Amino acid sequence: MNKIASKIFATVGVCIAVFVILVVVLVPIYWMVITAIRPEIDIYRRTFFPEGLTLDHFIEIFSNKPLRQFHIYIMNSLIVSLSVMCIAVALGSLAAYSLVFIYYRGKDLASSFILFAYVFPGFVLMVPIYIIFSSLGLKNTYLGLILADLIGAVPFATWMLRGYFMGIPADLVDSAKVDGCNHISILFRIILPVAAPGVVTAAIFSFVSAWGSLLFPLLLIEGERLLTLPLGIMRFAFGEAYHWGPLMAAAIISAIPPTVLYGIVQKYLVKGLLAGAVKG
Amino acid sequence: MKITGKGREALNGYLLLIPAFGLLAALLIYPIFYAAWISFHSKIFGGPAIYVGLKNYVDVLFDPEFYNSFLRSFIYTFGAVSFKLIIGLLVGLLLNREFKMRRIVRSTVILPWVIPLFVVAFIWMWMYDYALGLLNNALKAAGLPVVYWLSRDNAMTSLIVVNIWRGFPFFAMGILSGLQSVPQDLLDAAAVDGASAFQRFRHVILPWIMPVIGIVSLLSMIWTFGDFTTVWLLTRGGPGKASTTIPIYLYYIVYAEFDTGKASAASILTLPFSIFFIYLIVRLLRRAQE
Repeated sequence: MNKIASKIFATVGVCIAVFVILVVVLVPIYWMVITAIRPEIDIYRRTFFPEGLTLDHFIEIFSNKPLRQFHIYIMNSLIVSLSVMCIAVALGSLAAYSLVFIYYRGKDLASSFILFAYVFPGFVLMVPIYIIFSSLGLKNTYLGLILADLIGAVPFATWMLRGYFMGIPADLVDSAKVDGCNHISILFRIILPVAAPGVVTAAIFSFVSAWGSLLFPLLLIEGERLLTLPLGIMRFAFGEAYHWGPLMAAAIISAIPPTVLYGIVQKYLVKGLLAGAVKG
Repeated sequence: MKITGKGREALNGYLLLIPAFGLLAALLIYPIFYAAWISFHSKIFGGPAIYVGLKNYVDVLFDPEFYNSFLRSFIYTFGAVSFKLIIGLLVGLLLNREFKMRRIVRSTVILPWVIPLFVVAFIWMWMYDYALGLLNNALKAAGLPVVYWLSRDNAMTSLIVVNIWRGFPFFAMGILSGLQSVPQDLLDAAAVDGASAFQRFRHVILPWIMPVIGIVSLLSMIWTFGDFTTVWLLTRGGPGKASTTIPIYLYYIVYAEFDTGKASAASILTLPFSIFFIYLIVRLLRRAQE
């Protein structure tokens, strides 16, 4: 009897706890979504549930008026993020391959340096990057944004790929070497296909890190032509009185690509970030 | 013959490292040294650098705002990380149990961490809005007095809440993957020996997941300490200086005082702290991977 009682007690406890967590997580997200799709008048009625639905806010942010050119901001964010993704994965694969499969002195130190670069706080670089990039004419350029985001993305991709490559048996590489393959062809023909999930995960993480970066674009971009999504939303929000409907519509659009991409690699999400610290 | 083969192999190894390491040398290492160099100079944007010795360091060390910002950064970091750890541990333990729809719940819990940080900041700006935000709507509906969530007194706490909301899923998922790697026979053996649920947690599970907890906490600490986005978008360091943390403090020296020398000196002075944390993380992660 006592055992049944405690089991019921535990089940009810789990239900309540799950419910509380879901409410805490979902209510703010619901608040964003509902604000974006209901008429402005509803916002002033302060109701929790919508009384009408509309796409006006989405239409407004693409209306091409000043600070409402989100098609441009999306395009800029895509250009920067996709470039960062490709370059980070390319450089990261080469470096990770070297760190895992080739034997030479100083490898441990090199691996530690990559990890150091991965966790190094970017704000410390605010001043030097600003001055150096200004003097090189990299302000207000895609290249400047891309380079700034690579500072974090390259060590991250390298570290992550290193973790995946370490799971590949060294025999695979050694036998290919005996067959006379050079390192580049081993990397492309054998390692990358085998480590495909890792490559995709590293690519997605690199993309998302550039997609959300605020500090360096804030330092490097003036004018409206090169605004990325975070900057576009920020200018829109700080520019005038808050237009919550369009603001939340822009927020939803910004949130969709990372959410979809992370959904694809959900299995590897946390493991990738902890970089092999969790076994099994 | 063998030596040249080895030598060539090593050369290949270094060659493949060059693109990544060259980039990091140019964009990470060189800027750090450049910042150290500027910190001994007086320089306005576009102007020449004039050597001023330790003046910038004296400026920073006699600026009470430097210490205040450091203190706020500590409050922000340890306030947020300790709650993220506790909540993350509880949620991790919960999600480790078998129950219906566990997969859906797991995918949902991770959402705050998947949404870009700047979006999280705007969502909460809207939640906290004094006139029309959800929190004050709820208080009004309940007949309670409304709150200025981002006032001088409340701003820091409100920011910490946002950081917790954003970051607890990372702890929960990290700890969950640690919990799932606890060997079942270890738990069974403890149960056979008559260990209570709490004893099993205390003496079997907790020691097993300790490395994960350590790494997750350290990573989160360094990220939270360097968090510019949340603070900048929600309060821009205000009201007044109530939420000016170190990254915001540096930004203001650059863009309000236009004093790159002082900002560099302040950046350099935060380095030992960052490097200490980085050292701990590198050691823990390297050890975990061996």
